[in-house]
Amino acid sequence: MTNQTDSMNAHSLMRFPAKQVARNPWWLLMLLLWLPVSMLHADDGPSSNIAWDAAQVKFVKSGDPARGQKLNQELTCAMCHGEKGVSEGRNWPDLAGQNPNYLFKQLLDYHDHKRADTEAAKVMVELAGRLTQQDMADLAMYYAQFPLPPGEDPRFVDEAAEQTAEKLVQFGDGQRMIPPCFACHGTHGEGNTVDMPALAGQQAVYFRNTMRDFKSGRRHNDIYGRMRYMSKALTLEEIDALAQYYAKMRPPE
Amino acid sequence: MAEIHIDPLEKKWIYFIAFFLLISWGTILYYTFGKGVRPPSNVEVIDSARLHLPDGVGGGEFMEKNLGVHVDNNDHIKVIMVAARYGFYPQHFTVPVDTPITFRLASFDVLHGVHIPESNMNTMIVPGYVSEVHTQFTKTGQFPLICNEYCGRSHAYMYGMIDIVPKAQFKAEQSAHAGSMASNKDTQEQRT
Repeated sequence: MTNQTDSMNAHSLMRFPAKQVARNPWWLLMLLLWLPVSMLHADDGPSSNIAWDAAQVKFVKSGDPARGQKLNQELTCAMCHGEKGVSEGRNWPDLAGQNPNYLFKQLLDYHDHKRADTEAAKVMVELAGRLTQQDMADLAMYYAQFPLPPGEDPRFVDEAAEQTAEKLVQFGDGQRMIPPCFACHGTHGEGNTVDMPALAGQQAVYFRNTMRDFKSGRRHNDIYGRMRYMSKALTLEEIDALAQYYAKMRPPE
Repeated sequence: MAEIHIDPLEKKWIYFIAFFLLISWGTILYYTFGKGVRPPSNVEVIDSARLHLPDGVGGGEFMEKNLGVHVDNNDHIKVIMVAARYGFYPQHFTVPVDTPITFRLASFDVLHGVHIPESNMNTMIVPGYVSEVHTQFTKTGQFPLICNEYCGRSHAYMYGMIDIVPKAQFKAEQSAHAGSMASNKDTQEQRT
C-alpha cells in the first residue's frame, strides 16, 4: 500500500507515514499534538515571524546570488517572475531590484503560512514550503541585484485620478489618517529600510490586487496592520490610480 | 598666596550666579528627595525587533491581537499601544473620562513620542524600553495622538486618534462589544 502511494504522489507531505506509526506510536501522538497547535498558530499568531535584528539583516545580505540564480531555474520561479525578475504576466509581481529584505520576508511568510489566504498565494505557499532560510536569502539577493523593472503603462484611470494619486503619494490624507506613501516606499518608489518594498515600475494589476487583498484583510502579513489600515481607508478608485502612478514611476538613474 | 585682583563688578556677578546655582541645585534636591520626582517610574528593557512575536516582550504583550484597551475585573483600564513608522497602533481607540488609565507604550523601530492635547499625557517612546504612563483625562472629545520626537521623513504624518467619552457611554460600548477590545476588533474581523 505504501508503495502505491509512493508512486502516486511524490510530495512527502501527502504520504501518510503508516509504517513509522506502526513501528513507533510516538509519531501519531506528535501528529495529534501538532494539529491543534498549528491551527491556533494560524489564527492568533503574529502577522509575520520575521524579527529584523542586526543578525537577520546580515544573514539576508550574505545570500549568494549565484546560487539564487540556480534556484530561480530549478524551482521554476523564472516561469512567472522571469529570468531576471521581470515578470511574464501582469498578475505576477516584478522582483527585479526589489529590497532583498522584503523578498526574504515574503518567502518566509509564505513558508510560515502567514501570507496564505489570497488566491495567488497558494502556489507560493507550496513552493516556499520547501525552501530553507539560506535558499530564501540566496533568491532575495539574486533578484535584488537587477535594476528596478521598466513597468508598463496601463490606462486604468484618467488624468484627474492620477493627480489624486500624486497627492496621496506626497501628502497622504490627514482626515482619513493615511500617511503619504513616499514616507516608507521612497521618494522615487525605490523602497526603504528595513523591509519596505520598492514600488516603482511594479505591475499595475498585481499592485491593484495586492492592495485589494490588504483592504479585504485576506493579506495580513504586514506587521501591526499598517497596510491594512491604509488600504481600508483608500477607495477602490484611489487604489487603481495609485497602481497606475507607481507602474509609470521610474527610479532615478 | 598672592592676592588676585578681581574687579568689584565681576565679584558681584560671581556672587549673583553662585546664588542662582545654589537655588537651582536646591530646587532639584528638594523635589528629588522631598517630593519624590524621578525619571520614568519603571525601566523595562525590551527587544523592539521581537515586539510583535509571542516570545517577545512579556510573552507577547505587544502582539497585534493584544493591542488596544483592556478592562480587567476591577475596572482598571490599560491601553497597550505600539508606535511604529508611521502611526500609532491601534490607530483609533476609546477610553472613558475621569478614570485612571495606564498606558503601556513601545516602539517597533525608532524613537517616538506621544502627546494627547488638552491632557498631561506626554511621553517619549524609546526603542528598547516600555514606557508606562498613568494618567486621567479630564475632557471628553476626539483628540489626535501627536508624535513629538522626530522619527523620520513622515514624522508629521504619524496619525492616531483617541475618543474620550463619558463613563456611562464607555460602559455601554464595552458591554455591547461583550468585553472584547473595541479598537482591536477591526483588524481581527478582517482576517476571518
